[in-house]
Amino acid sequence: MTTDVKWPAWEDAAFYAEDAEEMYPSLAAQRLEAPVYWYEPPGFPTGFWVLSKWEHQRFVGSNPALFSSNYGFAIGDASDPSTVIDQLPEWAQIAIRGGDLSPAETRRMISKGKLSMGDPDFEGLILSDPPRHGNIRSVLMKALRPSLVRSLKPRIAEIADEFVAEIEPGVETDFVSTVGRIPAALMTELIGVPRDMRDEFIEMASAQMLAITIDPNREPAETARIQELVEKFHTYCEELLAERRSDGEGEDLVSIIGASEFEGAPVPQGLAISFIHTFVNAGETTRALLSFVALALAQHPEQRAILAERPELIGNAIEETLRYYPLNWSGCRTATQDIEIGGQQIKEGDYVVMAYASANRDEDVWKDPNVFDVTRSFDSAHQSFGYGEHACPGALLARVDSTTIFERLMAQYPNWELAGPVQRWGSPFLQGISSLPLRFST
Amino acid sequence: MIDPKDPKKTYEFHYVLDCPCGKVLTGDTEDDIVEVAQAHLGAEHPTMSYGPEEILFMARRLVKG
Repeated sequence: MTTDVKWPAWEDAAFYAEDAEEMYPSLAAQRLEAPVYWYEPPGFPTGFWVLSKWEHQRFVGSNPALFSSNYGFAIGDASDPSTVIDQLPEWAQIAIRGGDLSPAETRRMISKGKLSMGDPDFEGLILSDPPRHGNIRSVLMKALRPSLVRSLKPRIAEIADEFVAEIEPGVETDFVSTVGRIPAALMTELIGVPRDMRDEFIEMASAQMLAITIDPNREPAETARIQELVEKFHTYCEELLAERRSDGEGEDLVSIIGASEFEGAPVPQGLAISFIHTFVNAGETTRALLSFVALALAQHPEQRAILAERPELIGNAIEETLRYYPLNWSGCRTATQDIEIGGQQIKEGDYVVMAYASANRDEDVWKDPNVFDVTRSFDSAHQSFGYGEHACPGALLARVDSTTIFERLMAQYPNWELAGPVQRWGSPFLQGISSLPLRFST
Repeated sequence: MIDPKDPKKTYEFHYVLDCPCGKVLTGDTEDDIVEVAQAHLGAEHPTMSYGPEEILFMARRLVKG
């Protein structure tokens, strides 16, 4: 079967800013006609494989020995280095300009450089393979342990009530900058950021998120602004860590990391800072998740009415939104050996993109995949938090946050409607909403 | 207002737990998911241990097909 629908421009931010009505038919066309597809983006030094089927992505995600996370995690990491080098720290620029890196090593340098906040000793969970990955993750999960997340639920409800109280019924409210700020507010509390620093902290953290979303089309002035905030953020994190280590008895997340050991010694600074960075990202990405839930329920009032009658389905609605409007559209790996998938021969060193957004609409897995249905049965898991070793470490907190917040919001305001145009981010890495004007009513 | 397509419909739930190793664990009741999760931990991750309360907190109660 062939269609006239244009296939996705996976590398192009403009593609991700299109309406869902344009994007999803495009994903479906490629998934049906070329489920394992070698794509050569214009201007990229080499192409990459795009895997659209749920089954193929599960195979890649569960075989880290065959598909390494060491050599890039996002599509932008495979950009022509000359188009993004100014967005990287000097040590990464020197390594890339040296010219003797393989394509995989170049991707690693770009991805490490953009994550690092300038720190050459930075080491991130996302750029590691087993067994080291498991050791790193176990330290992180000490901080994000289920018992801690469980104990937070009453505090999340309390913060949610404070924010919901600020909503004026019948008056246009930007969801992103009101209710959407709850996860970041909670995270600054958990990290132990002083109250008078919280707004500045969130601004610096948002800049770090932009730095990760490397963009060949970014204006130099914007690059400079981001770099300045990211450097400030790194300095702040270093000081926070040093302070908590010297205090030695706090119960906040940074104190837990500061007091933890990694391979028999205190957690190295580059790793500890990457954990703070992970906590901060969790606040920002949960804001995006909340915004998509609010958007989907505004677009589907009959589904919102079901939740108002049956709040026990709110957790299910969160899962459905994650499937329907994933935040993370793709995850990437590098093949460690020649291997065949879906009849295509993947070579050692090839970059492999798992198109999560496409797998979440895979006709072989989901009944009526393009229907938003809060009563959908989840006998299979969506791909939105990744799968296997690299599944999102903050998924539990994100689910508890979002379920609790919508329980509190809907108890007071079961009805809302769009009150103006929605502004979405356009990014090949993470999806989000920058403005969501809503009008709430009881 | 309930489901406009089927107002009398009742939904059956089950408990779903994603182990970080990639295995998706399910159980029809709270007791089932605790038993399944503890059996999985014992067989695949013997150094990890979670009590029933933590397992139930991590598990999601989702609509069953």
